[in-house]
Amino acid sequence: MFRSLGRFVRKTRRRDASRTWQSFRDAKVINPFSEYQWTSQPYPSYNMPRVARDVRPHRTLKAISHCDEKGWWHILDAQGRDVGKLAAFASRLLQGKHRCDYAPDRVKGDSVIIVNAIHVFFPGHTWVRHCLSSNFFLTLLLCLFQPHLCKDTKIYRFWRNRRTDPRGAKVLTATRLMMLNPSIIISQAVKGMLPNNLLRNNFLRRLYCYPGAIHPHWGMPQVIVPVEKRPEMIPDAFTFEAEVRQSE
Amino acid sequence: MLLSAVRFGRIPREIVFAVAKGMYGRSKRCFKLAAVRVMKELNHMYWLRKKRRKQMRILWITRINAASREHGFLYSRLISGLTRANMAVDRKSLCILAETEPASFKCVVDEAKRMMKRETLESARNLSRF
Repeated sequence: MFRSLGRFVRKTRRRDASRTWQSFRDAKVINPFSEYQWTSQPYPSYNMPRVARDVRPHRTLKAISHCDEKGWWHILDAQGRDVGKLAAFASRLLQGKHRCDYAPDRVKGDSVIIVNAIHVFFPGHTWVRHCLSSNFFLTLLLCLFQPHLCKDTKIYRFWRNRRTDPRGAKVLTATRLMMLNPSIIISQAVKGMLPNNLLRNNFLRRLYCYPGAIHPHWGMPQVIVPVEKRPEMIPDAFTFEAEVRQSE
Repeated sequence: MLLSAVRFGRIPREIVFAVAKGMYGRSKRCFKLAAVRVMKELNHMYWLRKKRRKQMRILWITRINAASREHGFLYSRLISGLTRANMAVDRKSLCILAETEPASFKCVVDEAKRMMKRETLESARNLSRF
């Protein structure tokens, strides 16, 4: 029953002592000056969302503010940003706390559009990468030596009929929620940061979260913009200085 | 306020029903229910009058914070700068300035910035304040 684990012993000797790996899966070297030491991805690299191959090159203007007849609209790009920090900033804009005429009992805030929500970043152990392997012993080894890799640290609870329903809360991990609807992660974060009163729903109505790179609002500028090639500089045939030099 | 003030007639019934005018259901019609609700409301009105002054100050502080952040300055630093510059402008006037006269508010912020400016390289060697 017990097969020898000699198959999984390392074949080639590691000669470079400075290259220390974070996990067995990928050969990422530890960078002591990076902002976060341990980061996680919801899915393995081949399953992470990718940009289409035949698409023109684009670049982000990371945040845009647009004034409309309906008010101010802030379009934010969530790629590479922390969920909590982005949500704190967005909740501040929605409540209108950046304005001089802030009133806690009125809805005087601005509207916020968050784009690229699928590429948002959760620092630390929140997500776990699936260590799915068909081999039972490999997962056993992993569970023995690096148990923190096998836990989904972040859980969302959605209540339906809080007291009366005997089924209880619907419990979802952050990984699963990302698979089902990625924009819920940011909107739940913003919802938790808004004040818990009757105005919270009105604030949330002004928040729009899109997992993709473009938003469908007409008249609002896009944050992700195609790269425009500058026309090549053609030197002039006639220059004033050359004429002056010739006449001299 | 005790419920006995109503029960023993120190507060007459007409006043109880006058205070209970906007309430929901039988609390505005029936004396026994109205008495309880009215005493609660009068109690609330008493300490809310005191709390109103705190709430107004909180509102002023939030608005001044927003206005000074437009000039790249935090509320905490603005206040400490004003105390250092010996300007005793209160939060109510600062809030009114920020809303109606943005130019004067900018002058106030500049004064505070000048006091909160970090020491330059020349004064860093000055150990007389040590």
